[in-house]
Amino acid sequence: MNRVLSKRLLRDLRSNFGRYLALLLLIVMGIYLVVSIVGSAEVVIQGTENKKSVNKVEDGQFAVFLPLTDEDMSLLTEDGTQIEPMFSLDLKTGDDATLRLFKNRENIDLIQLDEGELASQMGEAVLEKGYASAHDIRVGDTVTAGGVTFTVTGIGSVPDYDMCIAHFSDSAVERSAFGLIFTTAEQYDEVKSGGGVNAEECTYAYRLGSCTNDEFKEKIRDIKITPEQVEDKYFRETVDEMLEDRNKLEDGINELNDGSAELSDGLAELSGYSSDMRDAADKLFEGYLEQAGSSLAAMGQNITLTKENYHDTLESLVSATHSEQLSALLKSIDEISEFRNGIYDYTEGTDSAAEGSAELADGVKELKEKTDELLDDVFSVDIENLTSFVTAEDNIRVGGAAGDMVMDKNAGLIAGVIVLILFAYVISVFVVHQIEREQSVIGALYALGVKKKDLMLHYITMPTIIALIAAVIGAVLGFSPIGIGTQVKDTYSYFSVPFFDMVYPPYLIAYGVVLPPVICALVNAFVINKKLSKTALSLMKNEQSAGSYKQFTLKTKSFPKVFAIRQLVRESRSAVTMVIGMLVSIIVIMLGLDCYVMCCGVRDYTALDTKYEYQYLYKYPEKTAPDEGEPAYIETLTIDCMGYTLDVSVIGIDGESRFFDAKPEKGKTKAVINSSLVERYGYKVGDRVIFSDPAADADYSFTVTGISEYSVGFTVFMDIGSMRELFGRDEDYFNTVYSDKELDIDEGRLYSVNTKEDVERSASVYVKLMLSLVRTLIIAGTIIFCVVMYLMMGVMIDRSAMGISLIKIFGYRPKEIRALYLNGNLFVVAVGALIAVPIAKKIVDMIFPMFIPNVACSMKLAFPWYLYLIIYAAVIVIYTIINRLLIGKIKKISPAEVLKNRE
Amino acid sequence: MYLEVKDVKKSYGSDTSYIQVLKGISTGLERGKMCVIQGTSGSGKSTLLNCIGGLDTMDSGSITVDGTEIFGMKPAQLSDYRRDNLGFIFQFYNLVPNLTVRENIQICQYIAEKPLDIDELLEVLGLTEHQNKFPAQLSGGQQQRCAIARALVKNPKLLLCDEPTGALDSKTSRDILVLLEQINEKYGTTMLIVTHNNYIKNMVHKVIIIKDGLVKKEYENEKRVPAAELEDL
Repeated sequence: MNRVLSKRLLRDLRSNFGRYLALLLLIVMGIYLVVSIVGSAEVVIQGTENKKSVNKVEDGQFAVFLPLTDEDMSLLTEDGTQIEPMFSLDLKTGDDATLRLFKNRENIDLIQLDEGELASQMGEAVLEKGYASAHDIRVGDTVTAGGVTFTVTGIGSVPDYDMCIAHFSDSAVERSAFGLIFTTAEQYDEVKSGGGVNAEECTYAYRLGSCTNDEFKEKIRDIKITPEQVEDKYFRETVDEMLEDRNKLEDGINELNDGSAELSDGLAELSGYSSDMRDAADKLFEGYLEQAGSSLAAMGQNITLTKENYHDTLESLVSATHSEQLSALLKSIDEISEFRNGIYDYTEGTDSAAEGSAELADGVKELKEKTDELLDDVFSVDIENLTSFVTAEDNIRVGGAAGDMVMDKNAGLIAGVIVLILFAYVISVFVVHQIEREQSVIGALYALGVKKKDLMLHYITMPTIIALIAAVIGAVLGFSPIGIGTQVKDTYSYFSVPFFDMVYPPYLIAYGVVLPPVICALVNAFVINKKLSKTALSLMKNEQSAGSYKQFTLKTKSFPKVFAIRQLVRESRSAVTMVIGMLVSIIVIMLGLDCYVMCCGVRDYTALDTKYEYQYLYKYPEKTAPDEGEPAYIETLTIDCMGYTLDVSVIGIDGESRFFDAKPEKGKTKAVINSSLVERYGYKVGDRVIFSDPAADADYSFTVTGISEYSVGFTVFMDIGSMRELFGRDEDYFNTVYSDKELDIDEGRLYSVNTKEDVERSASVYVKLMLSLVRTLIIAGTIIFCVVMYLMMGVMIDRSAMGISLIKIFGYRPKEIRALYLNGNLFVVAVGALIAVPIAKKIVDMIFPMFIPNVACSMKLAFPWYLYLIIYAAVIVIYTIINRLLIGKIKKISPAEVLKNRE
Repeated sequence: MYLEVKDVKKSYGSDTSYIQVLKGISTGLERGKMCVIQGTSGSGKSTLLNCIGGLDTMDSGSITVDGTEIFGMKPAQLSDYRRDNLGFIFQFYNLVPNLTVRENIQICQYIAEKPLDIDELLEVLGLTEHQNKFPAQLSGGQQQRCAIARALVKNPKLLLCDEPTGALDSKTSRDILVLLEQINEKYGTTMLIVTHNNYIKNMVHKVIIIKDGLVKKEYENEKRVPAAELEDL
């Protein structure tokens, strides 16, 4: 029996060729998309992983103020850790692009050449492949940067710049504006010594030995530098400015110390004479008393005068004798006594002063010692050398391509599941239709003894074979150059990565080739089993149970309306499939449109919100900002986004900034956040937000006091004074100047200069970059939409063939037939689209952040009203076209059909 | 002559599979008469009915209905011809399963210029109480009555019946034939009934017997028996 039934398979294929072809196309396209997207992601992810050991990819990198000394290097590498300097100079080219100059690498982040060889002589260089491609530079060509002309000996890439961006805060690659160039050490030194270039970046890459990243970081933090080690004139200047203040304070303290010591010494000396003075005074007084005693003896008064009794004795004699001579004697002795007492008082005072000055001198000495410590603290002359520390995991430049692909892989697998569910549902509709159409035959076969499993096998076979063939074709196309080959081109055209080997992950082969037929077989088995549960007689009689049709009364008197509603209810399964298909396809289209709208938004709003013409980023800030510039203080913190670390620029500004529409309140924990953060994280005023500083291992918490409509990256605005206080800076510190005109600032002081044009160009990269993906998504979504709609509307017409044939017999005209059988679909499509479009938009908006977790950018996804209208109109237009195509199908239904078949 | 068939030929297939079903049939029927076409399976009776009904094209010959020639008509013209002139009743009813009895009848009411009153028709056919039921909820006889109502609602001049009692039991068959007879009398509808049943010929005005694609015999039935009195069905 199976052999007999199998003969029907080819006939079934022939009679339903169009439908099977459409189904095949749907599965092929779905699997092709999944395999090509996921496969290309695997190629990049596995390729990146494989290249890690070949290219000796760093475990991380750190930047320092001053190059590490040999002693530092020994300390840091004692546990087996490898360190290699990755010093760089940014050189300007003739077309205002920047080439970052490095020496050839030796042990870490090795150059992977696509063609040519490494630079080995003066004047030779290897060019980064992205820049070379953007400028159509080949091996043997020359390139001029920083006034030096290099002959390109090779073109390649390095793993620490696979997302080749100039700064960590840059959100997009600009191949034409930024690239890398590698040359010999001698050539590098010559360029450096030539001057006229920005400050050298002292960056080191490392590969860990036995310590962890954290332990290694602590080791680097322990390395301090002294001002004497500094050679850079701007750095020296900055340190000297700091030291000038310190020296003034130190001199003052020293003077005080010296003075107090001198004072102490003088007073001590003075105090040393006190005893003599007291002795002399005593002698003088005693001599006077002796002389007075002699005078009294001459007067017949033999009295011994002492310092204790002289006053009373003489006074009693004066009152007894009224002698003027005795009175004068008493007065003179009193004066001598007072003098003596005065000498005593003076010498005691001198002693106390000497003691006090000695204490003062000790105090001042102590003050001096403490002040020295204080000055060491305040004026940090022992500067921490580490300026930044980024592990490879947190470095968006390292493994950026693979990181980006992880999302593609997940999105591809999820999209694949959605497509598989959709086609499984579509297949189930076909099967149900076929079984209903053939149920009298099935009943007869049942009655003749054919078993259910034979019938199930028969009905499952064709769709499963179709699914298998489609899956194989889809997978082959997916793995071919037009699949993975095409998809991975986007990666090669954006990231600076070597050409990876093709990979064939077993799970993807299983996903692409095995899953579709398995799902198809399972869905069919489920549906067919249910349908074949009827008795043979019931099937033969083609019985419709009374409950098969929804029993409801329709109020309307209009027959076409009644008919269309009844038809709609009858075909509700197909209609639901059509709406689900519409939703899925609109989700795919919406994904493309959201992507496009976001990229355009980044481009347009960045241009709109960038009000400055020049941004000068200082490495060595001046004391005061140029008159025509607006000083600001920028720190870069980070925030986590689905496992990715994204940069947040904290900008300290004055209340009345000319260039930013933000008025941050004073306070170290108060901040105004920009709209990009709100769009991504849903923050609102009053929320507490936390950002991190990985280099300092510190978290900063802010209360959101306002939201600024500023779309450039993730940005937080603070009151500049409060920010200086928060980050321990001077009250006049700044490291950035914004200006609406070009300023005359020494290049050596600057990290970089960004113009408004640079910012706009960087922002517009997204549109170019995403255009092919947007196009693919919109085309894929439209094809899915067309195929599903064509298939489902075709099924509806097939299922209604008997009815159409019947009303043709009655004399219905084509227009009337369309009105009865197809116009109801217009209602389904019109209402379905009205529901599906906003739902799809909502769903895509919700999941969209998952697709860009590694990009810190604004995410304005709001559509202009007319875009909704265009989508809706497109749906109706496509429906109308398909409707027109299906009229041919209706025309083909013969009136005699009804005479041949029995419903 | 209301219906006039002249030398109609019809064949299917080509080469080895070629078969000529109608080999030059000529016959006719007066307005308001009931006629039975009888013949064995494969004789060509249904093909002739389909040709008269404009459902199938003939290779040659002529069919005129009320003076209108069908041969050579384009599909759209045939559609209008059926719309304006014909009613069909089938052996297996061919009701639209997801429409109620009333709605099935409305299918033809909708395209009729001067349709009959549905309620009256439902009353005549005994379907008033079933008008909101779906076909699956009806017996075979009720379904055929619904099909008759549907065919009659546009008040056709010619009613074509293909084995109208073929799927019904004896009693129900009689009821249906009585109904057709009443309709013929009440509305003056011309009827052409294709049947295997040998007894039905007794109730009609004319009998045409076809064999191997040719009219073997045709005659006017002078001794009509009312349907209700037919001996055995």
